[in-house]
Amino acid sequence: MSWGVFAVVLWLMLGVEVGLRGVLRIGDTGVAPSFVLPLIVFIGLYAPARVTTIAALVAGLLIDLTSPVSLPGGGAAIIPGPNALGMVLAGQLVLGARGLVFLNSPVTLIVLTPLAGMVWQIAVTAAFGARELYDPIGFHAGGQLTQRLFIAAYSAVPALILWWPLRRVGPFFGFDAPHTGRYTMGRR
Amino acid sequence: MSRRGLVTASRMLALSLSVLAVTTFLPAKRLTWTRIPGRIVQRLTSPPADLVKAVGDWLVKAEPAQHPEPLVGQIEQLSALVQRLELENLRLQRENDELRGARRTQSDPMKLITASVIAGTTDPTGRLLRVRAGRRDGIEPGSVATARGQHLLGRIVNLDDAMCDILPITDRNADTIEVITTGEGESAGLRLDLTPTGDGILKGPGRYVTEGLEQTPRTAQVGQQVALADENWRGHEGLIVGEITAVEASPQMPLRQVITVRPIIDTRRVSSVVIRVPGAGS
Repeated sequence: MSWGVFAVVLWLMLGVEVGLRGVLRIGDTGVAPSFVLPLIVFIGLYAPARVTTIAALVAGLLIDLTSPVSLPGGGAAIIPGPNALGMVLAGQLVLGARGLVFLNSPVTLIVLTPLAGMVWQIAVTAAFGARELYDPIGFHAGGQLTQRLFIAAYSAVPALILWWPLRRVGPFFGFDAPHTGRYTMGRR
Repeated sequence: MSRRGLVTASRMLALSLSVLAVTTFLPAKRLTWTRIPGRIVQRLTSPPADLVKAVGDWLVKAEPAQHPEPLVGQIEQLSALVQRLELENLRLQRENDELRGARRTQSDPMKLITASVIAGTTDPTGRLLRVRAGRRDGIEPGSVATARGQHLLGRIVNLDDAMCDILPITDRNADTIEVITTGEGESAGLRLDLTPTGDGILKGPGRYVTEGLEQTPRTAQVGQQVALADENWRGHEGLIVGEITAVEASPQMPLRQVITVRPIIDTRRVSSVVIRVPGAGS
């Protein structure tokens, strides 16, 4: 896979995700879709397993590094790990499922994105929930999990929107996983 | 026969995952070093976010620091001034001692810095706001961010040369603040201690104060505005915190009211802020 193309697309997706959050947010809740997640699912569908894992790790780490969490008493901290590990697990779900799905169907991306998102968000909630036991940051796992599962489900919308553009730029990624032989990027 | 080197992609991946597994569970005080890579990544990722956010703000008509219409902005400033004067008047009438302190701090010199909100955090559930202004612009630790000049947003945390984070008053980790109801009538002047609930609102008990010969307890009403009246926010008293959305009797103490306040300005739909730096002169 071309890491340069991945870096540019990831950079754009992060920008779109953060920039459009105010527009796409549902009411007063923090529920807004992820644009990075469909990209990782897309890569998981076509790229070799190790490449998918590294891409998911990088994307998750970027999310961690740009997501300071507030601390009791008025500080903030950046915790590298929860989103990175969550994304890696989400990538593993896609790797496991890709042998069972039609790679060239938009439905695949739309269905796998919320499922992978659920794995990602459960992992993040579990990590922060575990931290809460010894290093409290005011994280209420129950409420957060509900909100985060909605975020995962809502991410199906960007998956629907991004399917066509990702297919267009797909050849530039240069995927070379053996399993894509039957379903090459350009063929329907 | 060729031997594989010590450093392979698989080993590096396993090492990275192990390190991240450790940092995930490290206490926050051991993670102060992550601020530097965080700032670098934030700066690298902000250009597309800024561009898309500008379009998004235009679509949702996000709250500017000051009203774009000069006449409306002037009216807002005047109404803020009237509100502040009303508040001072109330304090003169009812709480003389505390008022003296408040007036002294109100007249403190204050530097006002307008700054744009870069973007929220990448974590969709996060509430911290990152602002494009820092130490080099004159911001100091403990400065306070407002929207439209008179609506309190929160306090500055994580300050560096070019950027800072705002911890909104509605964040679950923000401190309890003391506020006072404003407006005309009997119900004005009730003091409340508001604590953020973590879902965008603040909630807390009103103080039991009686007035008149009949010792009528002072009460709050839905729709009233509340303003900051906290000693810990010296120099910023009078900033609007929000509007009362619910009033209920306390289950433990029926004579006391538990009041729910929602900020009038949604902290997550703010495009620019005014940062108040106390003691810096205007």
